[in-house]
Amino acid sequence: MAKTVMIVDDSGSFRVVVKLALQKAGYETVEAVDGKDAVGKLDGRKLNLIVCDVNMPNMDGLTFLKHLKTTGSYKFTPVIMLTTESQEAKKAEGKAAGARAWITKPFQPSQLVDAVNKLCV
Amino acid sequence: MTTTTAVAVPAPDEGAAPGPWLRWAAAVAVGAGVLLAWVGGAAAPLGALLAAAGGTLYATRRAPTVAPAAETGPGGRHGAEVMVSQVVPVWSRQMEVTRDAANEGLAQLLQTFSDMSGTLSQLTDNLASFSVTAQPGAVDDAVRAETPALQALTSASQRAFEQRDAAVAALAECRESLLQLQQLAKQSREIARHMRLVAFNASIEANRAGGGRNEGGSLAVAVELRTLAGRMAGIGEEVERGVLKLQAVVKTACRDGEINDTAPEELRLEIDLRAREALVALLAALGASLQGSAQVHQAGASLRDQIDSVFMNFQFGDRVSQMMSIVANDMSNFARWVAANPMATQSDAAEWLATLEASYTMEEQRSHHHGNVHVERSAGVEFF
Repeated sequence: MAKTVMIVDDSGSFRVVVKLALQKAGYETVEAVDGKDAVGKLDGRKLNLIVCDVNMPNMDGLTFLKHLKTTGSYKFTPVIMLTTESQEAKKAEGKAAGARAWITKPFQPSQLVDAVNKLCV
Repeated sequence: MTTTTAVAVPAPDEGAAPGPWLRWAAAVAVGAGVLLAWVGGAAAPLGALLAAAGGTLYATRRAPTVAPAAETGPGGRHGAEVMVSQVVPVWSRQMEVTRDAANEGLAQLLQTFSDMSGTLSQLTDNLASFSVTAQPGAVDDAVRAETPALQALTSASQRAFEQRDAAVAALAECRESLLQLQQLAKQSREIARHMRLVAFNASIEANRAGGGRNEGGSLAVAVELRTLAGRMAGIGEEVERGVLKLQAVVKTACRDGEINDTAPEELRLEIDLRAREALVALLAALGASLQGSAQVHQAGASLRDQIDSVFMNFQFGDRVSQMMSIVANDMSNFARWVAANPMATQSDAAEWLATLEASYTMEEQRSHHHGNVHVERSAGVEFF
């Protein structure tokens, strides 16, 4: 059975790029347009990994990450932050919140797939 | 991976400096204009307009001959404040519209490329699953397996050969009959010769009898008998010539039939040979076709890589969208702030610029904020 990855990004074009790369690698995907939408989709479904942007409206990626780590059934779901943000302070905040990897945009689809393959549970 | 982008260094300020917020507004307008012009398409004219407007605003405020910044307008508001509060929101809205249009266009382009990539994947997968292999001895196996079909092929020929053999046998019987006819022809010539002799003897006997009553009749019979013997000999010769001709024709036909005679086993071997030749030719054609398919498969894979590269490059759209969104938002905030703080100072401008810098999410923004540094763009995966 294919593993499922949630893509959280406010940019529709980015979601398409990520979705295509992951689907080609054999993953199923679920999309959320921001952190708030993503929280709404933590409804018990099986998620093997989450790819999350940092800067988003309504609820940013780091806030979502912190929320996720307090949600029992998803607290061990690995999260990859995929963002234009490259400030060390932000990365440190992401690491402290429980992110497993930080990918700076623009990214090579193959890099993302390699990281997902490595971290997907 | 790290890429470096050189950024132009602006000329240092000279002469009368414009107010800090106007300087910022002009810079924002120029920056947004350049950004939109870079995006191109429908955004390009707006970009050119913004760049020109920003440049004009900056130049106007720098020139000492133009009305001073501190001029007070209707209602006690400064002219610059009125300008900023009315013009900047328009630019901000235009940027938002442009950003939305760019986003929509990019999303459609991405969807198209996504569909193309999907079709290509399907095509290459189909080609990859289509393979035919011919093991050594495959042709022998195929011929063995298709023996009933090959036998069916030979049956019609076999019937034709049997008919030919029957015809040859009939011709051989004809030869026998012709030999008998030849003998009969010889016998008839022999009889004719005897008849002539009898006629000659009859005429001698008639002359010896001399002046008898039956002399005239005997002579007439002898003449008639000689005539009949001559006709009989002529017919016998003709029959013999005809028989000889027929014998020659029949002999040739029988010889040809015997030379071309094909045994059933020989026929089967020939059919086997032809079937093998046909199969080998078919496999060669199939091999060439498969080679062509492999080349198409390779081309498809290469094209997929290129589409991946297109996806990578399309990510610029997200960066442009983010930058435009941030600039538009800042412009709106700035217009509101200026309206609330008409007597801003240099320290206010510094504070504004610091806040802006802190809000940036991309290295490009931080670098362009100062306008005199190189952009260090880091890419890649950092695992924690």
